[in-house]
Amino acid sequence: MTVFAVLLDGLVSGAALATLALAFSAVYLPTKIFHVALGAIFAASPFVYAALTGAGLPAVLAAPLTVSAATVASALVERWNHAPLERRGSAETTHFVTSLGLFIVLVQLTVVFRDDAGHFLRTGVDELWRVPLFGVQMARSRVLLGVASTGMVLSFFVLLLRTRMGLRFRALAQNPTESALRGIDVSRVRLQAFAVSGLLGGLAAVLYAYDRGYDAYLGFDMVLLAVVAVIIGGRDSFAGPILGAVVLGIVRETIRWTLSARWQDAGSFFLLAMFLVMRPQGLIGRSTRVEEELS
Amino acid sequence: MSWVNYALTLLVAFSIYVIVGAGLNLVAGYCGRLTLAHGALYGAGAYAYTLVSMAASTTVLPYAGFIIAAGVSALLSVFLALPERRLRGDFFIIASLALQAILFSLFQNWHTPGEPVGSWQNLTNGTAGISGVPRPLLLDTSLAMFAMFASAAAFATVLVIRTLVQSPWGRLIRATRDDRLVAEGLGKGVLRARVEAFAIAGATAGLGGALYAAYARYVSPDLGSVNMSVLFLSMVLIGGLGTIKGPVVGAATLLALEEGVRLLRVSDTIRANLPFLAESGFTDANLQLLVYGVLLVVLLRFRPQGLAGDHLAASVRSH
Repeated sequence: MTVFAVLLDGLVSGAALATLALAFSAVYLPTKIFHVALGAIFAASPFVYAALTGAGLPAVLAAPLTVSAATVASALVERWNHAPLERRGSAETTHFVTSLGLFIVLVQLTVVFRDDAGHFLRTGVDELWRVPLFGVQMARSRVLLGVASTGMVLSFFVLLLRTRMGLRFRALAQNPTESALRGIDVSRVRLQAFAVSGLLGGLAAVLYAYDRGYDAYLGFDMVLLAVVAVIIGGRDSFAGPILGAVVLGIVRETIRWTLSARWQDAGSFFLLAMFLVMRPQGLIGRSTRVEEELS
Repeated sequence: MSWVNYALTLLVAFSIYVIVGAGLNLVAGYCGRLTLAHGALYGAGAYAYTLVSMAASTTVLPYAGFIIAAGVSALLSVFLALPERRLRGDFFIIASLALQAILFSLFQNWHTPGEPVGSWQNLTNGTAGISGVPRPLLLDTSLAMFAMFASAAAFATVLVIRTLVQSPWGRLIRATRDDRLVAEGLGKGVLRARVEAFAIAGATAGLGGALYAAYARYVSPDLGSVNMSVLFLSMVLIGGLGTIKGPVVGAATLLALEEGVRLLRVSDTIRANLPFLAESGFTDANLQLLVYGVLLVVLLRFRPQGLAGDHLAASVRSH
C-alpha cells in the first residue's frame, strides 16, 4: 500500500463517517439531544433492506423504502420519547439515558427477530476499480461509498444553506428561545431534524453495509465514532463534524495499515481523550467557559 | 445444584452488585455524573486480581489481590475525574465511554499467541480469557465461606459509603452537585472532594470485579464490556440515585429479573409459542437487555427518581 492508497481509503472512511456525524449533528445542534438511538436505526436498516430484497424487491425500490423506514423511526423517537420529556423540562442526561434505552430495545429486537450474526449485502469480492489518481486500485463498493457519502454531505449543506427548513435548523441551533419568540414552530423543526437524521443514518447504513457487511451490534460503535468525529471537529458548527470525520477516517486507516485493525478503536478513543482534555472545543470550535455553556 | 448452593450463588452475585452499585451511586447520585465506564473498571479489577493472585506463590497473597484490584480501578477512575470539570453532562458520558472502549480494547487485544498467560506480551490472553483463577486461603474451602466473605464486604461497603455521605464530606459533594460554583465560591476543595468520590467509586468497582474473578475462577473481556457498564448504570438508575438503599433495591431488582428470565425459561417459551421466532438464536441475555432498555425508558419518563431514589438527585431530575 502506498501513502496515497491509505490516504484515499481514509478519505472514503471519513466521508462515510461524516454522513453519520452530520446525522448526529442534525439532531444535536438544534435540540442539544444526543441521538444515541440513531445507532440502532443504523444497525437495523441493513436488516430491513435485506428483508425487502429477500422478498423479491429490486434494489431501486428497497433502498428508498429502507431509508423511509429509518426516517419515520427516527421521527417517532422524537415524537414518543424526547418531545414528552422536553415538555416536562427533563435534564439533558435524561434524554441521553432514555435514548440509550431505546437503542438497547431496538438492537435487542433486531437480534430477537433476526439474529446476531454477521451478514453481507453483496456476494463475493467486489470488482476492483482503478481510481485515476496515482494508479490506486479500489473495490467498487468503496468507490460507491465514497462518492455517495460525499454527495449526501453536499446535499445536506444545500438543504442547510439554501432552504427555509435549513434556515430554521440554524436558527434553532443558534438560539432556541429567540426562534420560538419569532414564531418558529419549534416542535415541528425538532421533528424535521430527527427525520433528516434518520434519513442520513439509514442511507449511510445501507451504503456502509454494502461495503463492509453488517450485524446487529454495529450501531453502537458507529454512532460512538460519529460522536468522536463531532467532538474532535468541533461541535458548534455543521462543518466541524465533517472535518473531524475526515481526520478520524485517515487516522483509523493509518492505524489499520501500519499497526493492526484491532487497535483502531483504542486509537480513536485515545484521540478523543486527548481532545477532551487538551482541546475540548474541537478543531474549529469556539472556546467557551463551562459556566457559559451551562446557561 | 441444591437450593442451598443456589441461594449462596445468588448471595454472592447480589453482594457484588451491591458493592459496585453503592460505589457508582457516589458518582452518579451524589456527584450528579452518569458514567458508562464502570463495566471497564469492574473488568480492570477482575484482571488485576487474577494477575496478582496467579503470580503469588502463597495462598494468603490473593487477599492482597483484592486491595490491588481496588487500587488499580480507583486510579483509572481518577483519570475520568480530572477532565470532568470541563465537560457538560452528555459529553462527560462520552468521555467515560472512551475510557470504557480503551480499556475493553486492552482486555481484548493485549494478547500474543504462544506467550505464557500473564506475561507482558500476553497479559489478558485475549478473548479466550484466563481460567483457573486462584481463591485465597479459607475462601477456597466452601461456597458458604465465600458467600459470607462477599456479603460482609458488601455490608462494609454500604456502611462506609453511608458514613461518608452523612459526613461533612458527603454534604460537600452534594453541594458540588447542586451548585458547583457556590461550593467553589465558599472556598471548598471541590476538585479534591470529587476526585476522592470518583476514586472510591472506582475502588468499589475494582473490588466487585476481583470478587467475581475469585468466585467464578475465570475472567474474560466480557466482564469489562460496555454491556456491563449499561447494566451497572441501569441498576443505580432503576434503584434510584442519591440514596443508600437505591443501589440495594436496584441490585435486587436486576438480579430478580435475571434469575426470573432464566428460571422461567422465557426465551424457550417464546420460541415454542411463536413459530416465526422458532429459528431465531436469541438468548436470555438478549431478553434481559431488552427489559433493561424498556425499564430505563419507562422509569425515567414516569418515575425519574427510580424505585427508591432521592427526587433531588440532579443527574436526571427536571429543571
